[in-house]
Amino acid sequence: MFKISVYGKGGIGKSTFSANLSHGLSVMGNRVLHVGCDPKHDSTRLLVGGRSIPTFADSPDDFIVDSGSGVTCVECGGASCGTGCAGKGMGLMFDRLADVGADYRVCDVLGDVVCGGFSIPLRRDNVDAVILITSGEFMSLYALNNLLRGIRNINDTPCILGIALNRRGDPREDVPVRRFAEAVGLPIICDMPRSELFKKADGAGMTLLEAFPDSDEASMIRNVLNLIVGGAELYRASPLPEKSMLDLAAGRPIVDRVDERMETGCTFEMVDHDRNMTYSRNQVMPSCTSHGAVDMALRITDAATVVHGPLNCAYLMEFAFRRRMMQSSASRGGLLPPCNIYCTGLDGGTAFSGDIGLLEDTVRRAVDDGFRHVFIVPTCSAEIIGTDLSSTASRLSSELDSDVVAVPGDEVFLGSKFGEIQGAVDLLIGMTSPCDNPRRNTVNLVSRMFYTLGKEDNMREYRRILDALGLEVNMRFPDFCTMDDLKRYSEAEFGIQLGRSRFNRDVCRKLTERTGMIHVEVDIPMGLAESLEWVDAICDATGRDHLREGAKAVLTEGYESGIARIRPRVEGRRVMIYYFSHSDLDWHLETLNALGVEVEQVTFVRGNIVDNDEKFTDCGDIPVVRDGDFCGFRRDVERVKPDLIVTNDHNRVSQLGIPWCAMNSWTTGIGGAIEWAEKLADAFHLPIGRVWEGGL
Amino acid sequence: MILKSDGTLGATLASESLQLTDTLINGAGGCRSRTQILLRDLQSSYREEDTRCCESRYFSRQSRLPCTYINGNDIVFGTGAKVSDGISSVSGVTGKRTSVVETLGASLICTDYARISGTGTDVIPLDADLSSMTLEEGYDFAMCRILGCVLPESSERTPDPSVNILGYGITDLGWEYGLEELRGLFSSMGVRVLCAPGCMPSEDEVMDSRNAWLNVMIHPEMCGDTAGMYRERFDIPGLRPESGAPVGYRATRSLLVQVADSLGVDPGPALEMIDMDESKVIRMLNCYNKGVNMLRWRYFSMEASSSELYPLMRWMHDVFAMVPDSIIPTDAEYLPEIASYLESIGKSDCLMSPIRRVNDIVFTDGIECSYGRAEGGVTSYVEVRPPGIRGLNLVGRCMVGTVGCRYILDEMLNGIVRFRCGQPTSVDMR
Repeated sequence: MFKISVYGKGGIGKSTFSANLSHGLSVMGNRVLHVGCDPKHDSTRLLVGGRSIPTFADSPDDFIVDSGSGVTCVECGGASCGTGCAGKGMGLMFDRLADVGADYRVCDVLGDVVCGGFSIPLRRDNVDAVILITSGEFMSLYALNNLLRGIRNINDTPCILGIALNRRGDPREDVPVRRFAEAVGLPIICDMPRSELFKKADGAGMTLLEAFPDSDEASMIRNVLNLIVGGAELYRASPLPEKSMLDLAAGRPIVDRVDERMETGCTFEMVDHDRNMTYSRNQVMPSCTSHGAVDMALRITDAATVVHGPLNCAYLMEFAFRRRMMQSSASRGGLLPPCNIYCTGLDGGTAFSGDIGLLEDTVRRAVDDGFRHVFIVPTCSAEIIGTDLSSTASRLSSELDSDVVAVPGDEVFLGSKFGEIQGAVDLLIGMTSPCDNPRRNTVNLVSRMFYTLGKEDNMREYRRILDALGLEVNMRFPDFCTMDDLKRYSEAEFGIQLGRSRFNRDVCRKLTERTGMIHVEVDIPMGLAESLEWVDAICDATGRDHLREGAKAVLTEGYESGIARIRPRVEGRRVMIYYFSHSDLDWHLETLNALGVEVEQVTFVRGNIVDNDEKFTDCGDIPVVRDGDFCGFRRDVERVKPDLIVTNDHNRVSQLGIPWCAMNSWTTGIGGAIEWAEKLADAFHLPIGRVWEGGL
Repeated sequence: MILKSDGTLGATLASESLQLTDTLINGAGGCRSRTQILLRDLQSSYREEDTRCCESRYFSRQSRLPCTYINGNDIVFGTGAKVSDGISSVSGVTGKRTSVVETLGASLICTDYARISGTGTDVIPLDADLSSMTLEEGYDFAMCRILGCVLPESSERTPDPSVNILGYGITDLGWEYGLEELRGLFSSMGVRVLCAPGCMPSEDEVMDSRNAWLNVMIHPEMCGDTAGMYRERFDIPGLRPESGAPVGYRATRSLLVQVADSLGVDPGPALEMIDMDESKVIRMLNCYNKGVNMLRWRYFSMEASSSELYPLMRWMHDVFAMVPDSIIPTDAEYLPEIASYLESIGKSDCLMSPIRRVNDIVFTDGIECSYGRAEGGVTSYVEVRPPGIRGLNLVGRCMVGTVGCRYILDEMLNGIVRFRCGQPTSVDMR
């Protein structure tokens, strides 16, 4: 099958021209497949007696129509205006047409290559000859140049038959077209005058070739047909640079002829906007538009979360969520929250034909199941096809007398590792109420990371500090609660922001704006200094100065007694630190110092993820290697011969044949530091390497 | 699980279980990360990052399952360059061909795979509308397409009877033990298993698969197209088990007899192995302090693939006199047989009815089992399919053959926690 695609600016006469081509090829004795790719589906009208035929969008199983004159006609059509993805429809339709036999296929394509779907008739395996139609108007030539850019990106082979000039009536309009054609190295294969015969044939529901076969216009079309069947030379696309197009418009000589710009635009370097981190070098950001929002919405235990996207997305989100809940249940006091998840099951077909019905059905199902609160979370597929979620949610809220809300998209599409978490949190913040009668001596804890920070062990450490200040925890945000519980947020006297990430700052700022409550910014407390910082920050912000020294004394005593117990086991030992990060190392150094361990060197290894808010640790007199690598560290180890290596990259460090200790602790606070110190002391005496691999 | 997956996951699992290619997910990073968790649970020989290797674009630290990580720019400008770059990078590490699983998001951008194929990289695009397929259909589609691309045209029957095992693999609970069991049973009948494409076979095994006498379709819903491809190209017939997958003693015997009949061999030795195992188990059940008779009139529910559910349901009802309460096949392959059987025992109403929490025994996926057990209550949960929480499987839990029979009985009987006195004064101890 020889495949022809006809492209050009909208309204330039592509449908009329391509219908005539199909008719002419058929008259020459060929089997012809004519494909109308424009959602307005009027390409085949002149081939079937002026009527409209069913489209692929209307009737995907029965849309192939015989014109009665040897042309098989199809129209892609499209969903209702403003819904669905017509480009996706093109892909589906071409899959369906794979088995339709013909000698020639003529594709009449939408005015511009607006997305990947509309590029399908241009692709290397999908086209043998492209015909470009233009008038002498600048915008038409401008569109043509853009088409050439698209062709070069998509199919950089000789595939263009030439330019067909379809005149609008200006006697000199051939001049810019000829200048353009010469500049881009393409022949003009047809110079069609403005003719009333086309209008008359159109009125009769016929092609001009059929209605006026002996006219000059028909003869011009037959010339093009002869080029096609005669195997005329084909040309590569060589679009002009922008400046040359302006020269063309101004009638100046065209100097720069080659547009070297390839429009790939792909990049591997990405910014995680939520956490202000940059993924660089060979690391790409594992982004998603929805899983963060789903995780967040599922924390409201009496709300349903509707994922608008393919089943696979929601299935994997359910799996990940429930698996994590199950595994963390024991450390969170047996908490096993429900997973009220629904999925619309968007697929290729519904992405094309329109997805609102699917969404409505799924929300109705959730409401029928008894949920009065429903969150709708879009996946990237729904975002790409541009589903209008918020007005659908608003309409369903009224219709179903329920609270249906759409989680807004991220600031940057696919620009968050924790897809749409910000939008979901904003919604939850909007559901809290202003603070008017707070309970004295109560606090809220705010952090993104309550999956881990909400463990009982961690809560014990927070309480150790808060108890010393006579405070109790009102609630954790955002953590598992009911919609009514959210309203309790404003009952606390103040909030504590756990961790200084951009995300946490944004959340606390918005909570303050919403509730009027102050939020004290502190690090997640690890070790003594950071625990004491809590005391200072809270006392400073809330006027509890009278409790400051007493609280500090309690904490210091607890820390020192724990460290003193371990110190004799490790005092004087020599360690090196190999740290796959550049961020905070403060509490490790504090603990090692308290234990009397000598730190011989710290090697910071810059990974592929750069935390733009990172806080550099002051290592004092300890030799430091920044931007180190493992090979260099190996040489340093051979030179220094430490007793132990402290590292967060044990996969590599364990190859060195020296005892090592991981950097993590199961819990935060003073208890966490003491627990780590204990592990460190034990690590000096543990067997080295993967002993079990040698035999069990 | 509350939700079902679609063909995207099925295609990924098929590609990863066949192992002839590297699987590149053309989609956002989120499509990869959770699939990777699932995959890791299913593959006991999961390939870790090579820590000796400093870093490479797609195989550094977390990227065991490579991905194009499409982002906002790609939506606007297309993914061609990135997919092309990804394929070069992936094949540069392993030297294998790359199969590209197209997610719905990527399919909306319409990557031009033909152009990528023309750049010298040997790509197998899995670019059908996977999101509109079931997991089983996606698995079958991908398996069929990859095998179709890699198998040469010629074939030569092995001198001795041989089979391939189709539709069985990493989507099944304890598939490595199951494969070992099936190989052992077939081997006792003088039948060699040439290849089980879903069980991470070697390349030689895959190439040898075109020489088999017969394709045994353990789960026909997972391998209809694949078996069709073998039939068309290599004239290898496919055998659909009449009693469903070899789950339970009866269905296992039935399959062995069916295979033996097709190949003209004696099923005797294999049946004898089954008989021996069954005798041992009966002896143990007789001594079991809670008594197997207590299963009588107990209610059970099942949600599983139809080929697994059909024999399991019959086993529970016909042998242990248990009553089906909810029967939910996840596909339609054995639906007529299931519906007809339920009708014959007057329990048509339990087909597709939701699982209630008052059941005595529930057969379902691992996640539901873990949640069910954690919630307490008196229901016994038997994990019959992934995904699950419990990753390590050293004791040989699987669903098929005699090993499968023991696993199922172990789980269901040990899971029953309804109070029963058990003191010497109890009637059965006097």
